[in-house]
Amino acid sequence: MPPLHPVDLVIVAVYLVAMIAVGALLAGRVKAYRDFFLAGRSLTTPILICTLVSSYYGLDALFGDSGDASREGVVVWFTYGRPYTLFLLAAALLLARRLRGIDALSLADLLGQRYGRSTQVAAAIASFLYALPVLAIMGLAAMGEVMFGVPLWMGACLGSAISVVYVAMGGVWADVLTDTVQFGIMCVSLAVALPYIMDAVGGFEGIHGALGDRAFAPLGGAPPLYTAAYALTAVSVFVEPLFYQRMLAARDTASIRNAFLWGILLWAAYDWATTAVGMAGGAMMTSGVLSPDTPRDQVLLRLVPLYLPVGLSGLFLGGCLAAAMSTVDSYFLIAAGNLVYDIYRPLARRDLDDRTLILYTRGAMLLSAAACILLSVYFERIKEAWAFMATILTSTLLVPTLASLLVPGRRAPLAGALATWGGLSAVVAFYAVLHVWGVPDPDLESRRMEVAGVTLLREYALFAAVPVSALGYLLGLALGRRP
Amino acid sequence: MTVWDALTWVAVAVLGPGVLVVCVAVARDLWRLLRGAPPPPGDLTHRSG
Repeated sequence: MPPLHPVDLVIVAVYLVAMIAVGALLAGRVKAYRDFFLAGRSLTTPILICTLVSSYYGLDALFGDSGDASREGVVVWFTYGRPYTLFLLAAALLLARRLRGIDALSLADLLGQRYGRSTQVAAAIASFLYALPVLAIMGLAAMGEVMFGVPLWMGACLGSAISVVYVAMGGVWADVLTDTVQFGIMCVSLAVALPYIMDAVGGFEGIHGALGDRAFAPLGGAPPLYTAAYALTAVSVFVEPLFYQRMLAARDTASIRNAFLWGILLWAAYDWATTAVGMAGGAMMTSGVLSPDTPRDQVLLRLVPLYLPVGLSGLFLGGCLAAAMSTVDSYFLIAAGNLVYDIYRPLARRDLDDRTLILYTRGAMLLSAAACILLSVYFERIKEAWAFMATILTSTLLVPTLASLLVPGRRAPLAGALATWGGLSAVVAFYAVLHVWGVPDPDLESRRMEVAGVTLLREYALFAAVPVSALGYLLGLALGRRP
Repeated sequence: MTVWDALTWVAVAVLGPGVLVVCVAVARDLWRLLRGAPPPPGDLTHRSG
């Protein structure tokens, strides 16, 4: 890969310094924990659009989707991506107005208010594991290696350190302000790069010539249950901690609904852009422009500098950094909030003042960063890590959250506790069994085992764990008492 | 033009000009909020602002 031009390096350096400056400028403004964590509940529709879109979509969408598209084609946009559109639409229309009148700081806090402390802690553990931005850190490490030649661990540490610094200083205000810049850079840079790359590959005719009809099959060629398992991870939007944190920071419920509706359009456009660029990369691997051994998650990164002129390459690289850092900063804040506000505070002592809470949350961001880097070692592929984290979150929180917000009637603390702890335990057990007794599946890049003639893949954990959680909820409802 | 080309140009239009319009609106709102102007009344409770 050619070395970066000095102009491109200057653009990247200016971007990084600007992010830290924003955090420093806002550090003195934050006094109360609600201001640090929820921006005084004042976020408007445009601000919510920026922060939701840029934070929810990181390098997993940029590198992961383009890497998958280079191999699997348009199935990534249709089958993996569009179920999210449906569930996001449902979330926008169903959830926003249900939050009216709820005074909570996070999803775990909300569940704690409904079901009690045990549920809050289980929810916070699942939310913490999910919120660790492993995917973005894996992407940052890959960027550091490909673009600057630094070792993977160093790229991961530097990227997360810069993100932690500015959010730890300025809290969610720094987060949303930087998200705005990052949102603009990540979207516009992709919009600029897309025509260049499509032109270079000869448009979709060129892609069809290289990849054939299979790349244009909306349902793809993987086993239906495997495809369904990925599509079903979309149900995680109902319990996405980022969405709840931002919704609870919104000015009003109309702002939330409108932000989601605009966000759906932006996410779909971003998805298509990464799918198209990824397919172009796949075609170039077939034709030999890119090495056939190129790691799929790095296809986009290796492709762009070949075709973009000086300056635009730097802009695109800044866009990649923006996509990663807007995710890393938001999720580190949420993970730290889970540790301090939802686990430590209820279990240890409840009388922490705002200053102490902010101080502890800043420290917890460092802990989260360390845990995140350790987890990124375990998973080899971005999509694989995403499936695990989305499964943990959904299996633990989906049943009690939807029951709490959508079903009127009594809420027994035991129901919440059994649903959350049951779902969490079921996922961990499923992954542990496949890890110990399963064998690698090189085609699907997963682990598999045969049970009574049925093939179990690691991705099927959701099918087992959500019913366990639902059974736990019903059992708790039958046995438990109203608070 | 195929359906794939059409999707691509829609994506470019949304991610380019569309996003710039959103960014201008955000800059306006953030400028107002960070200067300390109180946000208009909303229906989520327990505001700290």
